[in-house]
Amino acid sequence: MYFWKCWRCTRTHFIGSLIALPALCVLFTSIFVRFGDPDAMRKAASPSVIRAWSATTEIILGGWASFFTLMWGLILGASSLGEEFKERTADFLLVRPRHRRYWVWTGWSVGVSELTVMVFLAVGATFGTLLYLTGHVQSWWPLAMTLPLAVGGAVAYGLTYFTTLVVRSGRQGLSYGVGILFINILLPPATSYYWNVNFPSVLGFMMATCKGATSASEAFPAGSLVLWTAIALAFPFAAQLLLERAEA
Amino acid sequence: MATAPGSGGRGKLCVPRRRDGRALDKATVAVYQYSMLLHVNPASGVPTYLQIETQVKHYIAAGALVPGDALPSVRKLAADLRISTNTVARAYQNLERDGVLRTVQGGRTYVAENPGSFLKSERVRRLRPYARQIAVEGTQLRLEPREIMELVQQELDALEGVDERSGDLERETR
Amino acid sequence: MNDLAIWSEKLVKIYPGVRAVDGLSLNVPRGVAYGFLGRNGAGKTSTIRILLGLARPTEGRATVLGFSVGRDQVAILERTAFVSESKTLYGDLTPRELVRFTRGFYPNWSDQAVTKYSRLFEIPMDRPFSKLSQGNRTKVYLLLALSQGADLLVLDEPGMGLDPVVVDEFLRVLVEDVIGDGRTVFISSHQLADVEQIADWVGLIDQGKLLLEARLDDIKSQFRWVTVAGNALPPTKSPEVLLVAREGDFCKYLVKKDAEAFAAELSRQGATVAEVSPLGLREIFLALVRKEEACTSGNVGGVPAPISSAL
Repeated sequence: MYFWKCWRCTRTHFIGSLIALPALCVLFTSIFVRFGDPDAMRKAASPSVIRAWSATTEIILGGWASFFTLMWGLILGASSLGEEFKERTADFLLVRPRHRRYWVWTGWSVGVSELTVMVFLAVGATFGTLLYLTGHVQSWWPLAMTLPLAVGGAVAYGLTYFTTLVVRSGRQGLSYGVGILFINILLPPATSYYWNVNFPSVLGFMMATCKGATSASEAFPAGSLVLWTAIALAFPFAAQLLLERAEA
Repeated sequence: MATAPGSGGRGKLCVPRRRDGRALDKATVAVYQYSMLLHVNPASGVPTYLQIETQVKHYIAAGALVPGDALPSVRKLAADLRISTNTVARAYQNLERDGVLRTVQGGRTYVAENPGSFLKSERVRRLRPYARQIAVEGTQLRLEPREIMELVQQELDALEGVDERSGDLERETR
Repeated sequence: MNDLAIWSEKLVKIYPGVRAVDGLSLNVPRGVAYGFLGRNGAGKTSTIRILLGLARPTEGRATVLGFSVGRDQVAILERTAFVSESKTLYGDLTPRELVRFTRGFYPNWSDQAVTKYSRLFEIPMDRPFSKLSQGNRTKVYLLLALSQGADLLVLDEPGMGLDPVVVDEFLRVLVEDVIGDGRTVFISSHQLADVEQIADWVGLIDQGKLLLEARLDDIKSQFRWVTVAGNALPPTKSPEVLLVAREGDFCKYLVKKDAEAFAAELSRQGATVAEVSPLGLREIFLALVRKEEACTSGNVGGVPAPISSAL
């Protein structure tokens, strides 16, 4: 029931994003590919086709779509359970006969599901556009990019989900989430430059996965995937622990 | 005007008719009448159950309620008066214990055949606390014994008057 | 295990700087209407929040419908309907959607009740909650609570924003459909007249402590003001006297039982007893909560020890 309620309350934004992101992906992919040589695109195994596919995957999916997914994940997390405290509906909710972990995980699942669907459609749209423009499938890998993108999105979503619950306000939770995410993105270049320490960044993970996927020379970064999946799940788990101990 | 249950058609009030003009059945008539007869004032210092008991006894004494008359169910009376069913139940139970009311198997409550048909000594024993209360209060209010007795007599006379008046009422509403 | 609807033992709740609940021991029997009364800030809402699992007690224990508060909270919530003081719900959902949301949680949910009460209270079922008036919002809350099939209804200011006609209908519904079914109603309200009308029991709380817990009938039939003329009065150490108040040249004793005997005793000692009068609920509330001053050296005024009538 709560699943339905969360869906009902986010459905407008969800459907909006569902249309917007894939459409933009299609648009950008088309523009990007068009700047290449149109005849060469049509010939199989020509270097420019390979270039088109790998560059598109790296830049559109790894770069632009990743960033959009992270942002969207952050925003989605801010209109979650913590916000109910601010709107004073938490009393009504927590008096329903369910363990508190139910609210955390159900709410979180809705967001993650929506994110995954959106990412899959965006990736599919990109893939479809490339297929259409170049005439054949260079690689199936772009479709698999759904996974790292979804995981990255889930990390951002879980982050604001947790911060919103801590401060019990969507707006403040979002600010904290954005702040933490940006530190996470900007810190690794700095640490690797100054101290040669490779600090993992979620955006870096998403970009690297998308880049590595089509060059076929690099192995699929399974280790990073496991790490970031664990982080993505850690946030709702922390939220559960918090809610179970907190007063309403 | 529908005739009421019990003998002689006493203690009647104007009972609404159905929209199609047909008369209500007897049970409904009874319930209407006696729900409307009974009323309580929750804000008074007298407990609600006691108010109900007193009124029922009063109406029996005055002849407005006769043996065999059905009283509204606990739930109905409570709902109409907007008071707790526990209060009404308590009043009915007390009245039943006193022999004033009788509850049958199906759950309906009726005025007992011979309300207060106990040995005289028992009846005297039951009245004594009230007599004591009159004596104490009267003395405290610095009334003479003679004045207290007069007061009681007046009340007894008034009861008889109600009996006569309800007979008049019956003639008017025919 | 007990068969009280609500039971608590020395319940304490401390917020920073204030003891909101201070050693509260409630005894609410099943199948009754219990009026939970007190001033604002007396601890009513804090107590209710503890019972519903929204807050955790600092000390003490409590059970609701026999289940332990805290440990068996979900079992309690399955059987308890709650109307909170702040009647906020999801603004963009309509009452119909709110019903749809709520009904899935309760196996005893009654769709007939929804139809019956939405019609009775005239609730606009398809208007978003944020666009409803205060009265309609309260009605939606009442609808959800009444349709739940709960064994216990906990109502915090259920009459907020309701006009007298709707309040009257609601009281009727409570009596007929809830108490009449043997279920329990726990009302916290400032509307003393409404509480006095349907309550079987009252519990009066002040500064986190229970001042009085008794059957309303007992209060009515036994509590009395004994008004005595004069200032120089013989000292009386009677356990039945709850407090003493001064009113001009008169001294009023609030006696919890055997008022006649007490008055007679005072008379015997030479005092002039002007009146022995009954009390309504409002008077009791005001008298106990206002902490009247002492009248004689023999009787200390102020907040008396909590009294409870035998169950």
